[in-house]
Amino acid sequence: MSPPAPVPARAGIGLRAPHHRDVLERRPDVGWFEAHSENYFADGGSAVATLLRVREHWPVALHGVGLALGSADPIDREHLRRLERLIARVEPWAVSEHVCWGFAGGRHTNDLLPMPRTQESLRHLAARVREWQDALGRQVLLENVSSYLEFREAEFTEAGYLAALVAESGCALLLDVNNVYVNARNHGFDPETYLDELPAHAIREIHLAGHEVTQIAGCEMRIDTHDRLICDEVWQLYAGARRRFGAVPTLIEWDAALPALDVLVEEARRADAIA
Amino acid sequence: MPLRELQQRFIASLYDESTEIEGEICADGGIGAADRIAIYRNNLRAGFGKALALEFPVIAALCGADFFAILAREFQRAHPSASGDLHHIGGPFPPYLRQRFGTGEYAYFADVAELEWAREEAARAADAVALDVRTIGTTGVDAIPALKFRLAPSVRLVASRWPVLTIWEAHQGPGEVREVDLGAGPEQVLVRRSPAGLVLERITVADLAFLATLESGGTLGAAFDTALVADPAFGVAAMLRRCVVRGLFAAAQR
Repeated sequence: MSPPAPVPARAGIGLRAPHHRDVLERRPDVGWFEAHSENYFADGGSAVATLLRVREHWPVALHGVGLALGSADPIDREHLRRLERLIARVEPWAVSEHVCWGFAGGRHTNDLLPMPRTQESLRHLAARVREWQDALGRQVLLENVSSYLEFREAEFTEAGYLAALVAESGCALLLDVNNVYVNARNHGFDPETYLDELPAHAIREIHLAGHEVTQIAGCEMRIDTHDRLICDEVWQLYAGARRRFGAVPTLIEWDAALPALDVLVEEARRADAIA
Repeated sequence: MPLRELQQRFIASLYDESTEIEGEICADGGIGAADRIAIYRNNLRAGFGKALALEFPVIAALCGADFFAILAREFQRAHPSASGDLHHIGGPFPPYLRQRFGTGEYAYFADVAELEWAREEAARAADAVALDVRTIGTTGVDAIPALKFRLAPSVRLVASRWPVLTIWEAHQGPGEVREVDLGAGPEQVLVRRSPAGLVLERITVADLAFLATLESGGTLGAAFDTALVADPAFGVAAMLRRCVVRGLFAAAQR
């Protein structure tokens, strides 16, 4: 299985429809772009055409949010086919998905639901990842998700589950540093210990984003909103990740309350400045 | 608990059908299992409602935020997302509105929704090379009535008893929504892609009959006949010219 094509070890930004025109006209100085695969599943039209034009100037990663590999029910074959076709057209430097599940009994949540961290779910997810990698003929990256609950039955720590997934499936990891921090606060663990527990060789990409702090039943809960600047604590944890994992291509994610393109470019510059 | 069962119970809990999953969830740190599940339930509703409003912005505006949220929730119960690609949720919405509002005061919502969904479909349809007009020129006169034209995959036709396009247009651009006389009569709309973006065009009943016949696989002769029923003065040459100029035809075959 061939590894992903090289990409500059610089920060990239998420490609979002409201920025399409700006990106093509102004050609911002960023290392690469990441696109949400499902936003380009259309048979034709302007979105896909724009993505292909972006691809002429920058490396592109395809980041899926809808496959929900950890779901026990069969994966949607049509979804896989559309993804394969998009991968063939875009030739992304990375193809990623999430360590999550999302549907049961024909009802999709279109959300990234946390896995129960059991041996059973690990075997299931690892088999799915292997099958998908075999079908694509390439290694994929799996990303840790933020969560607001954990299942009682847990045979692994979260980082231990990711390490076991890498060992069992041969996948790489997309480390979302913001999600590590959010979960550390929501579930009470030390985020630095979490980073220590990860298999350093497997980390090929890092995500950074902003999150919201809210109160539920009088207690603090961090919600992964991707709608604001990255907070100082996450920048600090990112510096710790860079010390451990080196100059991994990093992505600034921003999905809601999208600001001007310059704000994202500035965040990317800040990530590049951290060595 | 086996993975499949745990996931089924979790989904049932999100849809308020069961609370059996709560015992499987850690409730440490002062926040109980029900409150934790509620975060995911709210995400499920809000995510669906937001995606639906993006696909049907005029319906969302006609309803107002509060009523649209209720309507989206009802619709989600009847038609939960059936795909990992959230774009698909809108397909059953126009027929749902038709059944939901029947022939009452809001009966026109279904037609406005149909127009909005036609735009979504047109925007995402496959690209196609437009028919080269010269291929018609090489056809013998006797064979012309038997010609069939394949409409471009992005072409959509919408017909309504209400002035649907006028309603849609009233909600475009900045500023106040203009008053629309719902009794202003029927409108037929052609939705198509142009290099500059989506175009919504008012067409006559005869134009609609002509295009709908071709869309369903009828010959040029049959399309002309149905158009003549609607308008005895229908000019087929002018219509063909308009179709070719707008790139409505993808390919021709005898």
